[in-house]
Amino acid sequence: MTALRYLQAGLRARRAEFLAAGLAIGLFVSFLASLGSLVAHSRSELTVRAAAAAPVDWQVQLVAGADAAEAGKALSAVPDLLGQRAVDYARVAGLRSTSATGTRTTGAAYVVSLPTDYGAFAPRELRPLLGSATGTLLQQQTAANLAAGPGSVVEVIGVGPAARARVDGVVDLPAADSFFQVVGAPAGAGASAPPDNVLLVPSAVFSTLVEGHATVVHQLHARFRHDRLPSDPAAAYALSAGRANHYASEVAGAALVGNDLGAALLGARQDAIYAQLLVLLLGIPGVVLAGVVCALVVAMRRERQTRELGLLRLRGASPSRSAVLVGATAAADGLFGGALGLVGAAAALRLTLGSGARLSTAWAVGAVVAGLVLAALVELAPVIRLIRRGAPTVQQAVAAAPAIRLPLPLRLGADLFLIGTSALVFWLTSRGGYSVVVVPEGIPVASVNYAALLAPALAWPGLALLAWRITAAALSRKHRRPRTDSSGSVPDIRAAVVRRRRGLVARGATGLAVAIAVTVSTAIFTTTYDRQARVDVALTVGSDVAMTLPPDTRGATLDPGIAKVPGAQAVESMQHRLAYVGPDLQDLYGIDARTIGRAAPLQNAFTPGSTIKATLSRLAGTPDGALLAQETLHDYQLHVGDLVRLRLQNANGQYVTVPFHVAGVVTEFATAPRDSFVVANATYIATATGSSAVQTLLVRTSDPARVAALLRNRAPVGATVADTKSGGATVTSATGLAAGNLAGLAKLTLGFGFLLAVASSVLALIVGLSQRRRSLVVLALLGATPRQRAGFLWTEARAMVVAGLVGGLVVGAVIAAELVKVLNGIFDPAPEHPAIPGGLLAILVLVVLAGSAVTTGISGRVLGRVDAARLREL
Amino acid sequence: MILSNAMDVVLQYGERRILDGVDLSVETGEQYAVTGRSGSGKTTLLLVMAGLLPPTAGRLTLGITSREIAYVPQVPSLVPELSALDNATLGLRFRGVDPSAAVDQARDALEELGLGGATDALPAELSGGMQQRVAIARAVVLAPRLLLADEPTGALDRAAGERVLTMMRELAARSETALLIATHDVEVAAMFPRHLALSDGRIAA
Repeated sequence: MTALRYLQAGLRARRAEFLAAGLAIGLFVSFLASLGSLVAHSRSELTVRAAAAAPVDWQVQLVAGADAAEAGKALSAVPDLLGQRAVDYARVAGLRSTSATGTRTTGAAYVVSLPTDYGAFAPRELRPLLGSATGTLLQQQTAANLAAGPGSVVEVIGVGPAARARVDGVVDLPAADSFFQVVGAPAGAGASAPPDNVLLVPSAVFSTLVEGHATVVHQLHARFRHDRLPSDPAAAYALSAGRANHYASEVAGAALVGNDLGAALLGARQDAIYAQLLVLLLGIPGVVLAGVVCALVVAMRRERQTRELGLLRLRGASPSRSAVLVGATAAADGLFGGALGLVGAAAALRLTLGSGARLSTAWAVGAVVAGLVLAALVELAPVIRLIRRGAPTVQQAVAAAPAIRLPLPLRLGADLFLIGTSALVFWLTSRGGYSVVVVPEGIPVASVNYAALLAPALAWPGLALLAWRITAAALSRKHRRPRTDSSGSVPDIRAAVVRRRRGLVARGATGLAVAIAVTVSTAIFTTTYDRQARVDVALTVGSDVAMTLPPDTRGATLDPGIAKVPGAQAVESMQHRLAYVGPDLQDLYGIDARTIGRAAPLQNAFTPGSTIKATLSRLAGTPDGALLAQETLHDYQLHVGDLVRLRLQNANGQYVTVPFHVAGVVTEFATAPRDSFVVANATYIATATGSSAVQTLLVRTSDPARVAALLRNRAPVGATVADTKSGGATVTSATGLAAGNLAGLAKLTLGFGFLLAVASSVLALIVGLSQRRRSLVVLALLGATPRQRAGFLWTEARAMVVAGLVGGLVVGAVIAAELVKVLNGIFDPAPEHPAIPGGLLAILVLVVLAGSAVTTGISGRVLGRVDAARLREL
Repeated sequence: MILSNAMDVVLQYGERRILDGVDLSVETGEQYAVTGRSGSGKTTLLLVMAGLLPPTAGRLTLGITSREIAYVPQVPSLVPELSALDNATLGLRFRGVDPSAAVDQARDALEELGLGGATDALPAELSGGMQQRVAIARAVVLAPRLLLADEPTGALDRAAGERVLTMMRELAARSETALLIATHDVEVAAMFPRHLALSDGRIAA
């Protein structure tokens, strides 16, 4: 009861103090709960999104003579099955089509039987391009090879004149690799190349085309409910693989399972780990900082509590009784802050992830408990210490000057040790082709190079301590007395006070620097990621806007003149052909190497071992030069300067051999696929093939959506127009799944980072300035005007805020540079250097300056007041 | 000349009357000792006479400006981050006195109070008595016409207290500064020509 009365009296008398403590604990609880909930949410999201990337979940291939009905029945019994469809295909000698330009024949081809609703069942398998999306469909490449389109008649070679079908549409097979996979291939056998020629027909047509003439492969394609998968991709993979094995045993070996879902989940492990690392490296420093800020705010009660404790003891309260009374206050602070924090966390999650986001119960409870523990530690621990040691006398208290001695870790050189070790670890881990996450193919366990995380983990405290050391050193300079000072502004005296308080000022500046560094490092990292994502989108689209025809279109060309619309800043033409490098069919891009950079995104990361400028310059200086993929150079034992013969289609559609010389290596290029491709000089390709037809126009503009809309109105038949605005929604990078996680995490960390930066500056100032109350009254007694008294506060505030801002910007930039390097694998393409978000940083600086100015101004007014109570305290 | 004149002054904090109808007039060169037990209203009376606390009722008339009044609190209350010399120069510097002149005057005052060897020391490095002497030096260097000191010997042993009081009285007499001190020590009060005893906010004698 006594504790309750003490608590009630305390709450009535000190509402502002209670509110401040509650808000500080609330900020901490809010950050922790929302970050934890984000982690829980993004893990499950990661699995769902990864699973959604699988075009179909299982491809069940029946062994010869197996009973399809039995296999289908067993498949129906697999838990969470959404549906299954029968898909058959057969390899035939080739396809033939006759048109006005003559008869064309392909090499070996696949004829595939699909149910009529297959497009709806597995929409990621088929992408309609021309004509109907159902019926008899030709793959895009096959259509090009046969010069066929909707309405053309295609004949299956070797079956007879009756084996003909009229083409209803042309489609792309975006997932041809998995569609035509070798089901049951041993692990590590490597992927098989998808067929160049594919004819897709309804089940009824299939029998008339191939029945009795080719070996038919029977498959059942299955899809499952993804929302019931475990949230962890590795666990989801284990479940899917286990079910596949169980099914295989159920059908007693009559079918093999191509587990596309399992493969997609295996691929998501890397994203899951990167998502965890992002939380570890971007989120945790913020939470720690929030805890420190919270502790400092709550600790502001200490002085009053010390006085009250003395009175309580004087009135006979036992040490344990005193601790219970203070503990009741701490519990009230913790519960009030916890409630505020949960409301804040729910709001933060809603802002970050949208209305569907829910607060994780486990994290919410954990965060509230953490808030309570923090409040108890901060409020009770010093009280217990004081009970044991006793308080200083008034005389000792008023004469004591803040310590100027550096803290022990700095005297021992901990900052230099930590930074040196961090630099060493950074150098050791980042030299060569290092990767923080290693995901071995086919093995469900991924490994993380946790040693690499040591670099930023050590750099944080090391740089913070270094900021402390530098601030203290900078403030230790002695100032000369001015010759005149008729205004009585006493600059030398103010500087002497700050010099003597440099330990306190340096501590406050360090806290502020860390708060700002959390925001700065997150902002730089996120901006770098966004920039690279934009480059990725621009690479996929080709430029801000791109107009494209299918490759190797003959008789059709794009005139650069049509792209000269209002808003188009530069237009570049590009040929897109298909060329055989040995047996591999690769995309070949014909460019003007001297001018391509005017419209295409170019980065040095595209040309390993050289700069993009030097490589393109070398290509321009080598008329028959070709840039090849690293993989091609490796597979064909080629080197720069070597002769390489490619087979290209000439103007008549016939393949001719064209000699090139290797001019360099290229890993990425505008519109190019992620695997192997070739870049060469357009003029040489035109001369060698007799066709200067242009298949791509790259347009640079500051308004992609508007220019794309204008170009769509002018695009010839068959041409498509893409732009980076709409392209961004469809392009997924290698670590695209982690991007969603980063976006949420960045919003949370930046939001709370801003709050913490302002809170830290305000708090550091309040803590420092509140200690000046007595001195300010003394100055007033000596005749100092309010302006002269405020001058002391402004000098100290200026020193603390400037040092904190400079330190924060530098520490944040260094940490961001380390994070970008350590998490290099998350970027696609890899950045050359971190991107600096100038606008955001300017806003941060202004917000901190404004918060500090308001705090100092208000503190000056409040602390500088000379009233009866303060005079009597002297 | 009357420097500070309190007539029927009442000072009240909430329900509690700290001063209850006090009359006191201090003239140039006068030296007063206000005595009384703890809580009798001595400090409050000094603050009122200095013009720092406005009375709740009654009237206070100041014959001089606030710049001509100096107040020495009970606890020395030096700026803890500044040396003894800088503390002593503060008042002068706020008044726009040339920095080097302020230093010379402050150094002289400190030397006169026996602190010539401690000018660079921080308050925490000085004893209670030395701190009190710095506070007095800081006040007298302003050449006030009225100097008020609250328990100036409270933190000192008897010998040191007597020394400090003697110095204060001599300095005041030399510059015709009126001196008003509050003390609970009757022996200290006995050193002053004029006395005023307070009891529960009223003048007892």
